[in-house]
Amino acid sequence: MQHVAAAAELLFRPDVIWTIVATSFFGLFVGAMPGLTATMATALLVPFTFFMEPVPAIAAIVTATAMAIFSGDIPGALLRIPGTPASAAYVDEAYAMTRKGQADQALGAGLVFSAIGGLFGTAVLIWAAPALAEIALKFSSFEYFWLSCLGLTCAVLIATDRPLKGLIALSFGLLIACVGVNNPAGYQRFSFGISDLLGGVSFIPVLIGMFAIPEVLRSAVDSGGARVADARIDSVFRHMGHYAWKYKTGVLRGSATGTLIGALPGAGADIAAWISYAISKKFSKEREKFGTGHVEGIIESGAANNASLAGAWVPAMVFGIPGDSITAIAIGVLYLKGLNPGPTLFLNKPDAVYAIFMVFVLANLMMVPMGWLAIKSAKQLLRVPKEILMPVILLNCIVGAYAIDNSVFGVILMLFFGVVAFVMEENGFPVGPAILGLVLGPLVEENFIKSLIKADGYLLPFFERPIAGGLGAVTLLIWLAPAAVWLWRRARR
Amino acid sequence: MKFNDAISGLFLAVVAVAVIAYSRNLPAMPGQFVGPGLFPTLIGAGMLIGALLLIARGLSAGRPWAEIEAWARDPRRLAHLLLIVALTLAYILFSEFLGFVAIAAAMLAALFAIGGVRARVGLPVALVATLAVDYAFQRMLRVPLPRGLTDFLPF
Repeated sequence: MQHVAAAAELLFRPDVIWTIVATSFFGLFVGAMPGLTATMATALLVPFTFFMEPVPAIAAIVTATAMAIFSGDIPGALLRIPGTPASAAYVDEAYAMTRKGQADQALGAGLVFSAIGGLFGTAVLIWAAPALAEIALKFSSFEYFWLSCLGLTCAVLIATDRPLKGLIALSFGLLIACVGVNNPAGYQRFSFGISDLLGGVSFIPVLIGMFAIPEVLRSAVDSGGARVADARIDSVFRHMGHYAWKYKTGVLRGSATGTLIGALPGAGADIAAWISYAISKKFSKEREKFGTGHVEGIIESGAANNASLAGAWVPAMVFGIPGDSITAIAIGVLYLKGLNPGPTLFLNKPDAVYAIFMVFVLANLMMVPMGWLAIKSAKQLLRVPKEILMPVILLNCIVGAYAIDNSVFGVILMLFFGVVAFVMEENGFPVGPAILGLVLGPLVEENFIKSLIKADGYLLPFFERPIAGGLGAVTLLIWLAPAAVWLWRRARR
Repeated sequence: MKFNDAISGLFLAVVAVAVIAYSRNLPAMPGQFVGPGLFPTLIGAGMLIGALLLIARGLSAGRPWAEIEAWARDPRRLAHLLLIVALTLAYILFSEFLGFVAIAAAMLAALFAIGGVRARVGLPVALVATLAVDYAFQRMLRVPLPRGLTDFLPF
């Protein structure tokens, strides 16, 4: 209990509250701008968090992403363009409601059930993370090796519709992580005599480059804009109590699905929303109404995408394995702030852990009034011209990449990886697995080499401990499954 | 530019082979049978397998070697894209000499212009946005942005 009090003391300070309010506005704005994602909001925030204390830094990320995932619904309903990929699943449904004159209902449902989903995910995080950390304390390098392999595998197989290109993107990220002296041998590799690379590739410029620069470049070549639909927005919260009662199973199911998918490494809010929308349609009593402006799917998948945000923090805090690309960035920030993720975090810094939990609760509660403001001012918000916004974002990216080491080399890295990511996406290679590889690379290598040395080069010890054996078996099964399916299909022909 | 998967695969295969060749030459840790080259070798191998599968898929897909999207044929949009890259390069090369305020304001003004923002709006917004970013990073976060020729400015 004294930890909770100490955590509250860390959190309820004027500067922290100010940070939360400011990043709420920032998150709502970024989420509502089509083309700017919640991940990009995080990437743009990181240079600022660099100069903050640990708790406000994490609070900034948590608040901004929660707000951004909700406000992605706003242009979805009014422009038929999802503000973030997480709203794409139900954008047609929301727009159909707008055309029926129910824009306020669509947005209100998005808002209220986003908050409920977020709180559900937070409850799971608060309950599951310490319990899992208890178990994880007994883990050795073997378990961590398999766990990170499993995480990377999920990222490639589940999080992308193109596993082969995802695999290549992942190996690219792992290779970038190899640069420099940060390997178990402490040997200088892949730096090719460039002194700025001796300590490895600086994480934040790469991140800004890969998540923000492609959007800036794409805005230059994408033509056309959209007109804001003529929507009357009267009463955002009317009928919400009725909906909550009528669709209670859906709300619960969406929140649970979202939390679970968020916790799976690599799969985040967008996939949570797609799957929940499909589940909602499948089990609905009024399936024929889907697609014609029916609120049920919006409620379930709106809850799911916000629930996934908190779910993603479970493996991130307990094992240091990110549940989605946002937590991949957040893990980088946790390390920078000396809050190294892992089970010992719960022993050594319980105050900070509880403060993070409280931030989640606070952000999801604040979402309701702040989101109401955003909905009410939606039409003005969507009128910000992209031609002005994107160059300003570029400038912020440049300064942010520079600020980490006060060196123009950061800007070089940002530009290089930005152009690489743009070319990758043009050719169908997903960027997410590359970032995951970059974050997890050192962890995988360290535990792999450590385990190999302990096992004296034999493979059997990798499977001898019960949990390691189980994780290893599952990982190998997933790896071998595609080949087995292929052989089976051939044999049947 | 959309390349056929076979072309992307070929490029990646070359990268993977280079990585493996480089990693094989790294020494082992003293007294150990493993070294800093093992992990990158394995990743290189994984990448090589992926690249070969990609080549196979690209060859059987029967698509052209490279396709140029509609935007790349539109000189205005292509110029816009190249300008963003060129201006960022210019920032990398000249920011130390010119100073942040000068180069950032010029960059924004140029990008607003090519984006079709009228000068009456674009020029003042470029100046205000530059000063706002300068204030946020220089004053609030204490990042020493390059001052260069603008060293005489009071802020």
